[in-house]
Order: sequence, then structure tokens, then C-alpha cells
Amino acid sequence: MGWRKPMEQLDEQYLVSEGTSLADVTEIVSKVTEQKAPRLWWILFGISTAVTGILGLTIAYLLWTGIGIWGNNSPVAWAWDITNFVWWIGIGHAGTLISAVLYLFRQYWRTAINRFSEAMTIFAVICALMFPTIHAGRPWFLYFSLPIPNQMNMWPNFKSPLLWDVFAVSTYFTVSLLFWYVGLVPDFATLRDRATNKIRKWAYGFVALGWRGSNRHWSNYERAYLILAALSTPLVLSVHSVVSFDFATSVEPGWHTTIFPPYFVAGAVFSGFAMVMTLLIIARTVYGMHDLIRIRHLELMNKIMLTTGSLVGYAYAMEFFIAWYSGNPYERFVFINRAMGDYWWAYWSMITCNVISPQFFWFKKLRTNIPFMFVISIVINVGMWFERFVIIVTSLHHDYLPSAWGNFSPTVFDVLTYCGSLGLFFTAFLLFLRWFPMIAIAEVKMVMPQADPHLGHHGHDDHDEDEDAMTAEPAMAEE
Amino acid sequence: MSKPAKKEGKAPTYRIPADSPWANAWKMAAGLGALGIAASAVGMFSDTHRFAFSWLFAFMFFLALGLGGLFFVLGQHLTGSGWGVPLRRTAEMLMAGLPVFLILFVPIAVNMHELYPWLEEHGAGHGEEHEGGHGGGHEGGEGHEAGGHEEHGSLLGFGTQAQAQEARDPWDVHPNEREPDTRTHTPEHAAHAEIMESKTWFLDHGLFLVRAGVYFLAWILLAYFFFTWSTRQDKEKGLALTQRMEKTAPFATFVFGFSLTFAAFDWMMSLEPSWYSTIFGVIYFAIAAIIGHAVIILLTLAMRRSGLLREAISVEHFHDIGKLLHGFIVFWAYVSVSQFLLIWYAGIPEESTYYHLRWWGGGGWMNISVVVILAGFVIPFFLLMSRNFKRNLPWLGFSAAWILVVQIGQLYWLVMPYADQTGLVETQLHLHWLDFAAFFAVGGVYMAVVLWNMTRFPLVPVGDPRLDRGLHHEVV
Repeated sequence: MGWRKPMEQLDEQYLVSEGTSLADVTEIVSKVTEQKAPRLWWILFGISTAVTGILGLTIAYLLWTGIGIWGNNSPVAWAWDITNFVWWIGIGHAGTLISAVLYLFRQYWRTAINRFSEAMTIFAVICALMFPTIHAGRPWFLYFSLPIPNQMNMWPNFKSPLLWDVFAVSTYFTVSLLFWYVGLVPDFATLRDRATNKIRKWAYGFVALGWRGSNRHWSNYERAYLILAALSTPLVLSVHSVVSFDFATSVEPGWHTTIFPPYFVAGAVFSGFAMVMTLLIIARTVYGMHDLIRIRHLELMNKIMLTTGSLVGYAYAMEFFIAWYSGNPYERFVFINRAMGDYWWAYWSMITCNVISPQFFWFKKLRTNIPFMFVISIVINVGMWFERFVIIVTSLHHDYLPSAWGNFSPTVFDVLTYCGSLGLFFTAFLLFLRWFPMIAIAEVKMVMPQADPHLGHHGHDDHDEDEDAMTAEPAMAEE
Repeated sequence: MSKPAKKEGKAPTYRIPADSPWANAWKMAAGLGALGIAASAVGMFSDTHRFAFSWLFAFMFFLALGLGGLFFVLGQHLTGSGWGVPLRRTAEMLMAGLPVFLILFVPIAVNMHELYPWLEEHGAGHGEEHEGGHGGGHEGGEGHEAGGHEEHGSLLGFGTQAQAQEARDPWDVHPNEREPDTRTHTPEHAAHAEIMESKTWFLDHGLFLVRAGVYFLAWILLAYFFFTWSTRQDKEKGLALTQRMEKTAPFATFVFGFSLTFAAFDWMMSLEPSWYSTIFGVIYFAIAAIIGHAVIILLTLAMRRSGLLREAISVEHFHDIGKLLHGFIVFWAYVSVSQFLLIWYAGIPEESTYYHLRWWGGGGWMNISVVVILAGFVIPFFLLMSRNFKRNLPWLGFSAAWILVVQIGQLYWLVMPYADQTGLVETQLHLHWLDFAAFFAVGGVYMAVVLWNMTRFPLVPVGDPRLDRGLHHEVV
């Protein structure tokens, strides 16, 4: 990793507050798992476990009764369940983007937030997988979707994008989990070494896989990390592309459009960053992580949200323009119906939340204002939920045959399953905050000036003008 | 681990010395361009139809190069990059050639009627016009008889019957409430006529030119400002201009994205006016990015060979830009497959014509389709896969050249099937001398401007505050 004196006039900053030592970093992150959890944690944990309990009851009732208790019905056979599936999968995308893509692009600021968002990815994918599993109707036959040799001579339909989903999402989950775990190993070892009781020592020692921090360990670690990053990068694109194929391979106006794959990926990254932002701001405030997660990190995340939000806006514009340009009356009708039909409120909520709200981040004042960005991040999450709702429901509810038109209204069980999935997510996430190092200790240290072997030799104190600051030697902090 | 790339004492100026072959390279490009223009001018009168298509193909290729340069520059400013600073000036040179496309667009504007079937609706005498332009050029005479053209016109359905129906707003009627169309004898004809009728105001001669004017205005302004600021910083130094460029870059990217998209729609997608694809603009963007990165690699490698830029650009920079080229190859394959897979899977006739024409349409286009896939993605994917390959400069240069040649083929594949179209999904393939003439004409003129600019300014942005980081860049 390289380290250079930042040029403040060009908006560059130290990634960790000045004066923070290497030991401080370990202390700030580790102590969260070592001290008693704050009262707020217990309150949130209580709420989310309760909600998860409700989810369990809802699912039990649902499996007993059948998915007819949801509001899905012809012609809107896919509704909240698939909306939630796509929403959660999308949220999961920020983790891989931050840990893999930003790593390959040498965006060192990612070190402060990657652990956090990788964890979020894992939990979001779990929540996502719940929905198609239930919606398939008989979860105990789920293995039918896997190409397992069997005496019934039964094979999955390889031509179906739904099957591709099974492969894409399971691969994504596996690789994300591996990536997350590999990154955690050195930090688990830190917690093990700091442990003051036997159970902690044994537990963290077990998951640290005998990490000793030797030169060989580090060099294997770096190599594994790079390979996993390279493997994850195509997955960032593939998963949501395949999810978009669920819709776009059909001949349904509003679903079948060629920009869907990259458009879904941009939307996924967009919503993922918004969710990371929401969680990060809370955790940063509650646990006092200000020295490691600086305003600069948040600002850069806001810039990514502005970018991806605008890409999503571009895709909306293309869809609308081409629907008109196609001359296809069904295409035209679907889009007009989206904006002016029965679900106009969903469409305009989507436009407001996803396209307009991130545009505030053009202004530095706003993208460095924490309460403001907190609100916007929630607004974006809402908007991205509406996006999937709009795509799924408005395309289905008025398609080719007017005699088969019909609207969708959710039942109480739709609401309970959706809110329940949030409960499940937050339960898992709170447990993560409590027991795992929520910031990658080792990685943050690598991007600190102290990690520069040339520190103090030059570049640090002989800068009386910009020219000199620029001639600071490049610093390599490997091994 | 850091190495002193600059020898103390004599700071390099990064200028092309007067005795370097690069000092006169622009004259060679201009000479080739002049030859190309002369040949094209002959072609324009002997075979107007072919000339128009050959010119459009060459134009879209070199335009992609200029826009690829612009994109690289914008990307550098958006990310506040340090590693790419020494490469940025080369991209800026490519970008600074963009204004010349305004002039190079004239032959397209003049010969629009040869290119875009949607214009046929306007001219009442479409039949003769088309025959005249087309028939004259076919010395080869490969079965391009008049019947084919007749069929062409009517199959596409832009006949005079289109005007017959009263104007109605298709937006506010659900399709099922329409009365059946009785204007033409087959359903396909009716469908096409109706489709074309509903978008005539957009695909309109005047508005088309106005839009082209807007795109050129946008590109000229972007190229002008980013080039002037950057070259002014060579003398002024300091941070102010960097701040300005970084402030402007996000907005500029918006302008860039939309202008590129609609230019691709207007100039290439509307060659088949009944066909549409929402991702088409993204595909042209991917092509532009590939071509831009490949040419930056080739130009800088070539300059290093003649001893220029050796202090500025090292194997580390080539490694990084090689990664980006590799990435954009994958991105291009990704967006192309997105378009293909979805159209193939859905199998809606009005969309699948595009691939049908290039696969079953005849004339050997199927072979080009296969070559573009294999040579455009599969082979370069492995050519640039390994770190060692990207750091092997001759290998990298070969890969970039390979990719560039395939992208020329890709543009040919995008534009030329329409040149010899004999039916909605029937066409022919023959290489025409005008293809080469137009390629040299457009390329020669554009590259002459690029190379001439190179003699006038330093080859790296010597005033950039991050230049030193760039010079000492190392990939870890």
C-alpha cells in the first residue's frame, strides 16, 4: 500500500485522524467486543430479536397455510416477495464492491468500511434467499433446483434464469463469506491475543486458524486476498445481472429491455451504499469511531451514491425514451401507465428518492453533513425498494389483455414477512457488532503514515511549499 | 523500494525535439488524409451510397477514439488520480482532436438520404433517388437488381401510405383498443408503417442536424476547456486549475454520457429505424473506452521507442492501463452479451432482426460475427490476463494493436450490414475500396490534428500537482 502526504487543497486527507497511533486503532476496534454492550445495543437487539420471532411465526403459519396468505395473485403473481428478494440482494452488493472492486482500484479509504459492508452483504443475502425459498411453495423440495443426480431422472431447467439465480447467488454467498473470513483472520488473532479469559481465548483462537502474523502468513494472506478480490469482481456484475434476467428475458413490456443488467448492477451498488451509510453512521456515533471513519470516508461514499444514483437515472431515462422510440404500443403504454396509472405514487416516489435525492450531494456542504446524509441514505433505501416494486408490479398489473388486468394489494402477512426480514438482518448485524472486529484493524494500519518505512526520513517535515510536498517519496508499506 | 526516476539537475521538458520523427508525423497523417479525401471524393460521385456508409463507419470509429480520450481525461479528474497523470496528456491530445469531427460530419449530413431509411418518408421521389445512388455504384453487380430495392423499401414499410392515416396520439390509447390497420396488405407492413409514423418527429431531417449540432457543441466545449486548462497549467503550475478541472469533471461526465448515447442512437441505431435497444449507448461507450485505452497504450509505447517519455512513463503505468483495457474488454463483452442474450432469449421479431441480419442475413456476416466474439473478447481476455503479460511491453503493444484492429471490425459490423441491405434481414458483404479511402480520410485528418498538437505542447502535464506521484508510481 502506498502512502503519501495528502494535498489538502485538493481535498485529500489522512485516512485516519492525525495523532492516532497503531495501538489506538487496535484499542478502538477491539474494545467494542471486550466491554459490555451499550444500553442502546440491548434495546435494538431486543427489538430486532422480537421482530425476528414474529418472522418465524409468520413463516410457520405461511408454510402451514400456503403462500396464498400473501397478496400475490394473478395477474400480479410476483409482488412483495420478489421485490424484497431483489432489494436485499441489491443491498448485499456494496460489500463486494467495496472489498473487491475498490481494492483493485487502490481506493485505500475502503479499509475503514469494508469489514462492515462485507458483513452486511452476508446478512442481506441470507434475508434475500429467504423470499424465493418461501415463494417456491415447498421449501423442503428446494434441492430440486440443484443439478443433483437422482433416480427420478429429474433435472433442473438450465434454460431458466431462475436456475441461473440459484447458481449466481449461491456462488456469490460462498465467495463473499470466504472473502470476509479471510480478512477477519488476522483481526481474530488480535482479539485472541488480547483475550483475558479462557473462553474468549479459545473461541477467537479457534477462528483465527493459528495465525501468528509471520512473514509467510502475511504473504499468503495478501495473495489470497488479491485472488479473492479478482474472483469477487465479476460476481459484483454477474449476480445482479442474472437477477435482472429473471425479468428481462421475458416478453413482458417494462421487463424486457436490454439495459437491465448494468442498470440493476448500478442500482444494487447504489442501495448497498445507502444501507452501509445508514448503519455506519449509527455505529460510528454509538461506538465513537470518528478517528477511523472520518467525514472524508462518508463524503466519498456520498459521491459514489451520487454516481450510481445518476446511472440509475440514466437507465430510467433510457427506458422511457426507448419505450417511446420503439413505437411499440405495449411498451409505450406500460411506461405511461407507470408514471400516470394506478401506481403513479410508487413511480414518483422512486424517481424522487433515487434520482432527485442523491443530487443534493453535488454540494459539499450537504455531502459532509451527517444528519442530512443519514436521512438521504434512508430515503434511497426506500426509493430502491419502490424501484423493484414499480418494475415488478406495474409491468404485471396491466399487460397485454385488459380483461386480465388487476391491481395488487399487500396483506398483513406481506408486511410481516418484509418487516421480519429486517428484524433478522438487524439481529445478525448487531451480533456482528458485538463479537466481531467491525473495522479491519490490520488493513486500516496499512494505510496509516506509520506504516511507511520511510516515515521520518523525508517528505514529512521538509515541505515549505507545494512542490516539496509533491516530491515526497512514494511509500511502500508491505511486509 | 522507491527508485529515482528523474536524474537530479536536468529536468526533462517532455517536448518533441525538432529532429524527432514525431515532429513531422502529423504531416504524414495529413498526407494520408489528403489521399484518402481525394479518393473518397471520387467515390462520392461514383458511388454515393457506398461512400456514405464507408464514411460513417470511419467516422464512428475515430469519433470513438476521440471520445475515449475524453473519457480517460474525465475519469482522471473524477478520481483525482495520481498514477495516470503522465498518461493524461496523450488522452488530452486525442480529446483535443474532437472539434475536427464537426467538419468530418459534413459528408454524413450531405448524404443522409443514403444512410437513413427513415428519411425516405419525406422525399416523395424516394424510389428514384435511392436507385440512382445505389445502382450507379455497383460495378461488381452481385445480384443487386432493382427488385431487391423495391422489396427493401416496402419491407421496411416506410412507404407513402404512412401519411395516409389521421394523426393520433399513440400514447393515450391502449393497444387493444385500436382498430385494425387496413392500410397495407400484410400485418408486418402495417406494424412497421405505424411504428415509423409515430416517431417521425424525432427522426426528422432538421431535428437530426440540430441534435448533431448540440453534440458537437458539447464535445468541442469539453475538449476546449479541459485542454486549455491543462496546457495552461503547464506554465502556471499550482493547484487552482486542478481544482477547477476536478470541479467541472462531474458535470462534464453527465454531458459526455448523454451526448455520446444520443449520438450513437442517431447515427448508428437509426440505420435500422424500427430496431431499438436501451443499452446501445452503453455499448458504444464501451467501444470508445476500449479504443481510447488501446490507442493511448500504442501511442505512448511508440513514443517511448523513439526515446520520448522514457522518464515519465514506465512499465508500472503500462501495467495499470493494461488492467483498465482488460477491464473494458470484459465490460464491452458484458454489455454486448446483455443485449444479445436478452434479444435472443425473448425472440421478438422486431428486435431480433438486428442479429438475424448479421447472422443469417448472408454475405458472410456470420463469419465476422464469430470473429468479433473470438478475437474481440476471448483471445484478448487471455492476452491481457496475466500480470507478466501486461508488464511485457511488446506483448502489451501487440495486444493493444490486436484489440484495436478487432474494434475496427466491430464498427464495420455495426454499420456496414446496412450498406448492402437487400431486405429486412438480408444483406451482403463486400469490402469496397471506399472503405479504406474513407478510413484514411477521416483517420488521416483526425490524427494529423492530434499529432500536430503533440508538437506544440509538452507530452505530459508538467504543471500537474500530482505529476510527481505519477512519475514515481509503482504497482504493488
